Amino acid sequence: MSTLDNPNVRTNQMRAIERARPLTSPERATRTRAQVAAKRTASSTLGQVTLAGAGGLCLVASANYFSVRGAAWSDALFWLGLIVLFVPFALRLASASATRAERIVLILELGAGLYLVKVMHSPLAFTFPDELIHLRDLNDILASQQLFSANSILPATPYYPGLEIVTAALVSVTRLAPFQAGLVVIGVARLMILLGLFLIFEETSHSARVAGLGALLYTANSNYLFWTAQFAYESLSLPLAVLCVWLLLRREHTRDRRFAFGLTIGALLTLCAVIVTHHITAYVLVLLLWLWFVVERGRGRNVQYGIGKIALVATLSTLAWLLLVANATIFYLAPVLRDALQGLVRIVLAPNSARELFRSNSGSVAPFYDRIVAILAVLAILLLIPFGLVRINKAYLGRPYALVLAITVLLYPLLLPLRFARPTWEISNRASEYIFIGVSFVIAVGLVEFPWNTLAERLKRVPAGWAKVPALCVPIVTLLFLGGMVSGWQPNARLALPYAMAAGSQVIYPQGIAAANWVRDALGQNNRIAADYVNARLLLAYGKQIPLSGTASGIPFLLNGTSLDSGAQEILRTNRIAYTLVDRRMSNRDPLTGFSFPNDPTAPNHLDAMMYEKFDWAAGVNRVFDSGDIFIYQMENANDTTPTH
Amino acid sequence: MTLHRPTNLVLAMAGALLLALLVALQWTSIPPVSIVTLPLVLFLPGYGLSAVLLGNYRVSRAARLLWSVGLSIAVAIVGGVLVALTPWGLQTTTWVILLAGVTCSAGGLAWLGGYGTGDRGRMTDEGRRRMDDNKGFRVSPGDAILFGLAVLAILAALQIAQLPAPPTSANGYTSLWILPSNSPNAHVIHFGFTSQEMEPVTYKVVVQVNGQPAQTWSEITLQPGEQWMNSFDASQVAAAAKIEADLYREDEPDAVYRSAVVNAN
Repeated sequence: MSTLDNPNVRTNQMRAIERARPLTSPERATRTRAQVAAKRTASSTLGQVTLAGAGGLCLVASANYFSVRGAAWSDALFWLGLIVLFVPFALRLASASATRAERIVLILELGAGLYLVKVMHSPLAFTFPDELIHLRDLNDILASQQLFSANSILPATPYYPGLEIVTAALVSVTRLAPFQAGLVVIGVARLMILLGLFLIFEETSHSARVAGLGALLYTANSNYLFWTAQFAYESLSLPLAVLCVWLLLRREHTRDRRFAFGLTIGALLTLCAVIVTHHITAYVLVLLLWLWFVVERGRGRNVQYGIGKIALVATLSTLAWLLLVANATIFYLAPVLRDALQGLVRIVLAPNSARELFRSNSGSVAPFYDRIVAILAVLAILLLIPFGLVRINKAYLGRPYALVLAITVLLYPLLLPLRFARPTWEISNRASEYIFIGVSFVIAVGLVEFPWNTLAERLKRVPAGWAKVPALCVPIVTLLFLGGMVSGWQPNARLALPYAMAAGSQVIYPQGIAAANWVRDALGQNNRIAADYVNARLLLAYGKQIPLSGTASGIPFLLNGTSLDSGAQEILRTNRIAYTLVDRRMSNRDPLTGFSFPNDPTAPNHLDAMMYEKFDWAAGVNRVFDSGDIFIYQMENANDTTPTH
Repeated sequence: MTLHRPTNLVLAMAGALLLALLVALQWTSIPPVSIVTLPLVLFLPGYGLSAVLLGNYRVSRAARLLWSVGLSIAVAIVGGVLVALTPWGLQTTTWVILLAGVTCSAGGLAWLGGYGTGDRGRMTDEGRRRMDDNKGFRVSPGDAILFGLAVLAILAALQIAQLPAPPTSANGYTSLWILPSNSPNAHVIHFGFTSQEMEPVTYKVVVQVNGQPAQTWSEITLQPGEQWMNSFDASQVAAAAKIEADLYREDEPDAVYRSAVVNAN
């Protein structure tokens, strides 16, 4: 008889499981019955759930298809597709009868499915603003085979090249195109983060059900569906940080030195990878390690290998990278933090200067049903958190990392008011992918382990496999998911926009891409070009230019002014601008939709003519390119401040 | 079949060497081969490292998967930074040496140390608790059919997503450009235009010098995606004259469709 079939071994294992769980846990009896039920079931429901999820993806694809063709109801189809994709996974993960292996597969499938939602939004090229910045960094590495090239739009990114390094490796080895390799890397990262969170939550709660539900709930954070699915450095750094935390968590309670050593090496390696990949994730990881250290000191009775030394190494390594390699980050982050602080002070002193909720920077306003769902989701989170905290207080006090997660949850309600100020909205939004790790764990603990589950268990007239599903769990989880999706991405950018148009046997791309390609081919690379937010990124990624668009350089003043006065001349001279690209479309001003064709070609879309005609009237300026909405002016001889007629 | 302790490591090392050979022979330009080499970057280095770091301890498959993928990415990042400091830089050869080298070195160390990734070995606490890792999870023929249907549905969804938008979804455009010659002694002005319209369009180009028509080209019909180029001899043009290329559409002969201007130097 093998070890695995030995009933004594099984009994000992089950006793070990019982010891690991507090006696008061309702999950204990549930898990025991679940294991018995699992053996009785002929097979899992994995096939059905997978097919249902695929059906949801087909609906989302259809929504994108009809959106590009101008159908007004495509948004409703998109919502339906997301629900059809999400709910079957939620149903199965919330049930008590699914095995651990099944939960893991479900989580990975859901992660892949949700990633495909983003891929289907932009299946042909990167269209999110930050993606184009990182695409340029990647192409520079591929071309020069070296690191740390300059990036005029976001100077800090070349100094955190982790994402680009891995993608360059993939391009070099597999000969995939940069876009395809980028999709693969981010896809793998998306699966990594969910698997890592599952293992962390399982390690912390000793329950695969809590782990599965927690990982599911993480997909409800406002940046999950689109923002952290883009080809950007944070999309890779956060999964690496999760892996690092998991390794350290495993290390905390092991009693074997050899094993602890291996885990330490693994954790240090991933820590180094995080530091090289993204600044904020590294800083958050350092803060988390120190918080963990403090909690461990207070509560870690059975900790064999503590966090203190790792936290110290992490701090010193992060500082060393910042000061010795990436000190441009200081100039990039300092103004952001300063503006955020000033914005917060302004809100307190003048509350009526607050930002209007559900209106994006480009002016698009979320529909009524979006707002209702988002508000209900936030309220649901605020209501559910206390149940989880009560449970953690009762049963998890001896586990430092559970307390760390509980403490981070307390930041969630504190971050909500930051959404009312324009400079701090970004901080609040970007913090959600970190804070939500704690939020998802605490809510999962509350949903699974709070005694209300015993009510659902008394339901007799449901199929065996579904008997343990808490009655309200799935609708709540679905509400949180949809609310997160609404909160994190403006509605007019949720669905695909026309990007590639069929014209006979040809495919036509937007004017900005044509302009960027022309600049590269006709003018050569690395010209300094003043451009707006959207075209600057296209010139950076496809045009291989040195575009300037930031407020610090005065470019908006140059582009939006109605004359080439002395101030504009000074901007040209100071920034050594050789060319200026003017895009007269208002739709181009939206950073999320400006990379595609305008969704409504008949809508009025032009800025004040004087914004671009001032260049036509200036002496010594050549208009070298005209595509109807985009004009490129050669500025090298612009030395006359008086417009001539 | 139960794989014995060293076999997984040997397979991993052999796989890394084989994939490295495929890359070196440049067979990765063939798409299926290209996909096959993905594990060289995203799995094998971490797998080898996990074998030597975990020693004789068994972990669940999920943990092994996360170890392998995560450490592979970490190896690529940290190794990439170090390789970039060398004179050879980040090129295909150095990548292959780094990734296959880490896989084989770590795997070799693990093999020599008697570590393994198979059924034998001590159980970690996590491994012991996860005994149902592979239990209660069976894929029946019915499930396999459902999986197959799901894959087909997803492939169909991806195909739908990549369909170009119809011509009615947005307006096409034409790009006109003008540039002086790069040579300092040449007085030639180059100009041209590319059609990104939705249907064939017939154009007329008029080059003006200081507002006076100097040369005209008519009946230029371009299909979508086609380009037309020409040049204008500006040697007889006075310095500081304004040379303008105006593009007209045949269906709107009175309206300047596109205009580009350059000052003769």
